[in-house]
Amino acid sequence: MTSDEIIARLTQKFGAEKIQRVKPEGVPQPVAIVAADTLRAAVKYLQEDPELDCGYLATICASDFLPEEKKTKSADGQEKIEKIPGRMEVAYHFGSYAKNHRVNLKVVIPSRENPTVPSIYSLNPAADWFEREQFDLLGIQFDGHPDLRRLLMPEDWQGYPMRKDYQQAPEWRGIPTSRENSHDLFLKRLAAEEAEEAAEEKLS
Amino acid sequence: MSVASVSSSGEEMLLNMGPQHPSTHGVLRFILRTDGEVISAVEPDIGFLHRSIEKIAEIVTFEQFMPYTDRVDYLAAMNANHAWARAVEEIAHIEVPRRAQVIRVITDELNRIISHLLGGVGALAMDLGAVTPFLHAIRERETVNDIIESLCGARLTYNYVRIGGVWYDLPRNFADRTLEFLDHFEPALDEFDRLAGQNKIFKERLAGVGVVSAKDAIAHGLVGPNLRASGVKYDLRRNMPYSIYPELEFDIPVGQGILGTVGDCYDRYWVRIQEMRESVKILRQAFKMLPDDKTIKAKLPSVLKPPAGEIYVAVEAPRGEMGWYLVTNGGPKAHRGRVRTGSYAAMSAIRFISRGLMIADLVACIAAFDTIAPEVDR
Repeated sequence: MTSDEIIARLTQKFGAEKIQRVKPEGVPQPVAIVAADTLRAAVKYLQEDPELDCGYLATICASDFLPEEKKTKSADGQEKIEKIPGRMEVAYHFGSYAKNHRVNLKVVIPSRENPTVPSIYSLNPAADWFEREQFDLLGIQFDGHPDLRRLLMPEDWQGYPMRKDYQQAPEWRGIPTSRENSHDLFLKRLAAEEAEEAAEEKLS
Repeated sequence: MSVASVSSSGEEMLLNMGPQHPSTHGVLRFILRTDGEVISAVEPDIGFLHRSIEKIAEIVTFEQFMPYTDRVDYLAAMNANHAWARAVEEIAHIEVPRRAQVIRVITDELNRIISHLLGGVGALAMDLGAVTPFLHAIRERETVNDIIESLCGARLTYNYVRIGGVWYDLPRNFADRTLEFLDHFEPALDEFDRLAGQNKIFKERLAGVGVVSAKDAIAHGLVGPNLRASGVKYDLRRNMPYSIYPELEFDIPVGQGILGTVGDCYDRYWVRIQEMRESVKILRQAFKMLPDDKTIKAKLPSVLKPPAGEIYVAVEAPRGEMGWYLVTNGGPKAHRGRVRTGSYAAMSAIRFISRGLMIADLVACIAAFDTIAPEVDR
């Protein structure tokens, strides 16, 4: 089956208001936008239906979209500012080895504050670390995950590094997280050496 | 002695393994809960090599990101380069010239051979206490390193593949040198297999250890040789073909249960040995397919701006499916790039597979899954 056919099956099963097919112009793969409350049912159907059989979860990818302003000019020359609120998206890529087909699913979370999606860990064990990593790096709360801890970053790290507005703290446990530019350090050392030489000359 | 025959004293202890441990293949720590020698739970503590390559992908342009992909998997940098190049080419609709396609297949397969030699079979033997096979593997790898050095100047992090093609054309005697190496390598591989694979101790250390059924392999997301060792015949080069792979003739080795159980550590070793033989076959064919047309790079706009959207594209790397989930916003940089690697899934699966194993078998398991820490942490 092609991705389009799989998405058509999902739409047929769950209705067009729950599953929406999106394919921007020029992009080769379609994406099914799934309502958060249908995600678990859709994944279950995807994995258990013998014709779909998508038991392989390739990856979970969350992405962060900051609020933005889009300027558009209408026909009469008036500038219009359209405000797009920030959002988070969590994308899933499923596949089937036996049927050799693939499909992208996506959940759009309308807010960047405390984003939550249902966990699919109990349906697919491969989701465990994928979900933990997205929680770690982007702060997505996977509702129903039994052990949602940081995976890559230290457990007491503040903030979510992959967010677009992430500001790194100057230090962590007394270790500075940035260091001076080596070029600046070199110039500083040269200046110090010159000053020392000048002082020695003065003495002699 | 099988695990079942070890009597349990009922006293458990926590044991730390790593972050600096000769068998962890990089900086990686395990916390083991053991009852004597028998493991009851394993928690891999990863992240020591986390360089946030995915964040860097958002900061630099598509072309500038290529050297970073080397560091995703430094044993198979060509395949990692290829994965990124293909992801961008797919979404930006770039047609790669035929000569570049063939060169990519040649470098991919050369890289697959040396990656399997070092990580898949060489280090496996060494982790089991056999140092000699490792040195044999390293000796063969050295020749390929020299060959690839003549191609791109680098021996480990190649940065050779470009979006829309490759960096340089093959040097003058590249084909001769490679074919000469292949003639030498085939008997050398047989010798290696006799030396390590037919050794009684080696066999007994791997037979029936860390068995993964086909169903579990799919559920835990194992890919590549680890998946095929469990009996699932799936290879992206054949099932979702890219580049010139559809025109090539090669077999996909699948775990046979040679020592009794399908999907044990010995099957994983065996699949990798067979894959190297297939790579040799592919290389011999690919050199005959090199076209005379010397174009090696497609004409690209000075600033590459793929359309806004998202895409998942994968290639078959030595450690299995390496795929990029790429989110673009119409600009010259990726909005989000997420790389899916084979070692990551294998490491997360080790927690489930290693229950009930002995500590020494866990070492065999880590090595037989061919996990390397940079690919786990990225």
